[in-house]
Amino acid sequence: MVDKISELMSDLEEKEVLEEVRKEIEKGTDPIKILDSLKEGMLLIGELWKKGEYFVPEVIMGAEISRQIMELLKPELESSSTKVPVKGSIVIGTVRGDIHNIGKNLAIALIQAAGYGVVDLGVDVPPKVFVEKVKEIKPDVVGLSGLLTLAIESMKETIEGFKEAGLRDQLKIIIGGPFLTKNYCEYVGADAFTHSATEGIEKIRGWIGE
Amino acid sequence: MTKSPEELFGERCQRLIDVRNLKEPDYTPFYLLAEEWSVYYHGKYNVGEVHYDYTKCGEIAEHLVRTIPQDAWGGPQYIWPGPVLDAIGSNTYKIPGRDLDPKLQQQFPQDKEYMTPEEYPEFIDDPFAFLVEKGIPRRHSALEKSPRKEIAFAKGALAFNEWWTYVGSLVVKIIQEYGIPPVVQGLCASSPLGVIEDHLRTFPGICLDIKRYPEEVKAACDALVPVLVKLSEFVYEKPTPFPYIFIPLHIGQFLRPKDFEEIYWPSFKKLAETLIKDGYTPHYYAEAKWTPYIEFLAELPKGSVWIFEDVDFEKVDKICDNLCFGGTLTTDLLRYGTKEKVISEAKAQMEKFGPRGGFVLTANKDLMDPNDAKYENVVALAKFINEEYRR
Amino acid sequence: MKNIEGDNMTELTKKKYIYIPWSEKREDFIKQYGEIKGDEETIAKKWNELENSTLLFLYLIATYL
Repeated sequence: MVDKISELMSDLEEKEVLEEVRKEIEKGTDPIKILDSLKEGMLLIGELWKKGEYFVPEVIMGAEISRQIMELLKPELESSSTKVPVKGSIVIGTVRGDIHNIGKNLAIALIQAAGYGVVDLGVDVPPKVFVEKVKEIKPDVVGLSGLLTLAIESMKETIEGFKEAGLRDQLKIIIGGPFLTKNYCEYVGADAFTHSATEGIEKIRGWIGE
Repeated sequence: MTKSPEELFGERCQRLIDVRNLKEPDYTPFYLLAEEWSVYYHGKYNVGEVHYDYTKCGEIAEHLVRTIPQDAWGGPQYIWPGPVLDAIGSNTYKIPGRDLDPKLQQQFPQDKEYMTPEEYPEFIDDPFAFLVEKGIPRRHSALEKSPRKEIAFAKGALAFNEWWTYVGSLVVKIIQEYGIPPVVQGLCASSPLGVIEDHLRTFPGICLDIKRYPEEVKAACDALVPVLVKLSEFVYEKPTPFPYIFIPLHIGQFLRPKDFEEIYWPSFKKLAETLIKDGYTPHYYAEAKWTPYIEFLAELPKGSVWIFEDVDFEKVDKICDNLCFGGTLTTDLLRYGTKEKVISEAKAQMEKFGPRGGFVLTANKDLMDPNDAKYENVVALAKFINEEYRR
Repeated sequence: MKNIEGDNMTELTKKKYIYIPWSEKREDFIKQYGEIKGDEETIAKKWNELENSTLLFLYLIATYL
């Protein structure tokens, strides 16, 4: 549902939206409701990105506004008794050897806005860390991110690691990076590849459901 | 009858000058900017070893040009030597063997902001002074305080001098023995916005600045142009259209066209115009997707070379009769195609775009990782071009 | 080498930013790093090369590294 907060957010009106959030908190509005508006705003930004009206800097601005709103909401959410519902879970990280994270972080912002639970393992993540986390939380989807071609062998090794641990069949694996193609995707053994978070989310929606 | 290195050198330089001038050359120039890829291809050393002993670049370079003859080569400047970076306490680049697995390639994480938005006015007032007096000590920890900074600078400068002298001697050797010139000689860190983004504000930082302080960002870019002109031209004894000036582009291609036009483009265009007017050739490596900006590129004067990672080449061909372009060989093709497919694609590309004059046959990326291109594909392509296609 | 005299950035660099002694105090430099041997022309050429690569080094660590 689009409301004032989500609209101000999608217009990237930084000062105005934070002011509006402060007002709502003061009024005693349910923080979960504000969180829903935030997510809606982020999803609207994602749509504008997909349409080609917004580019990466606009999405980064959106993610930054989102971060600031979350800071305002954090104490409210902690004291609130309602738990934030998430559907499905995704483990995501930049693979071993690659230290870039901007694309990954934007993807996480949109994935969380869409209501999915995300565990972010950070950058330069060794295959065995991915495997251990997957064993621990049994996610629906694993996202492997990389900016440079050197990520390819690490992606392959990580997916081999899932196979060896008998986890591959329970997972959907998507790889993200600007240089990826169908050939690279087949080589590493992933289920899908993407150049952009908005494409990636479509895939995730297809796998986990709305 | 085989030609002498001197003859070959003359022909190759002429080819690369012709395409820059949009004149159809005798043959379409073929070159690959083979960076760390050439280390893996050589097979004897880790990249990390080369960062700490750059004399290994010699045998790696000779192996490359001997087995993959091409019209120009990338030079050994794909590494920043470890001793130079260590002398000044520099951590901006992560290098294999020191920060990363020695088998990997160097990376530029941009994990710290080295300028606050509040400092834009100071930067705009005198960007060179800001870069030297504030940027340097913040980015290179041994250059922060006296007396350490004087000693560290001296050490770094001497180590750099040794490296730079070595680069010069290796370039001369490859010219004298193989007749292959370097593609680039001048180094320009990036576009004006790219320099501020890469070395002061980081990518997320500059994106937010563009939204929050667009006028300051534009003014900062405009102020930086003379500094980058100086940097680009400094290594040349006199103006020359070849070797080209290497300019990697990291930020413009992520901006929406409105911001590209208002903030990024004016200083970019000014820098390009100045370099070209002064008699040089900016050689841009345009990463990511450039199709939304093709109409802007058409505004540039004749005399630039553009290597695109991902662009609508037909549109560039149609709209930009003012520039030389390349990047039609994708890493996907070079890595996963058969030898036959690589050769047939290359042939088709040369036939299609060669006649326009401003076309170079090259990959859409600097080759850094073994997965960027299969060795045998590249060897086969070079053999085809030199022994069959050009006969 | 290219004439770099009278140029703002270069002058500024040489006067203000090159903290090493060999711009002005060549005797100190020689004491520390040793003599550059050769005839006058060779020595002048070597100093010029060193000065130019030091300038380049400064420009690179300011804008690229």
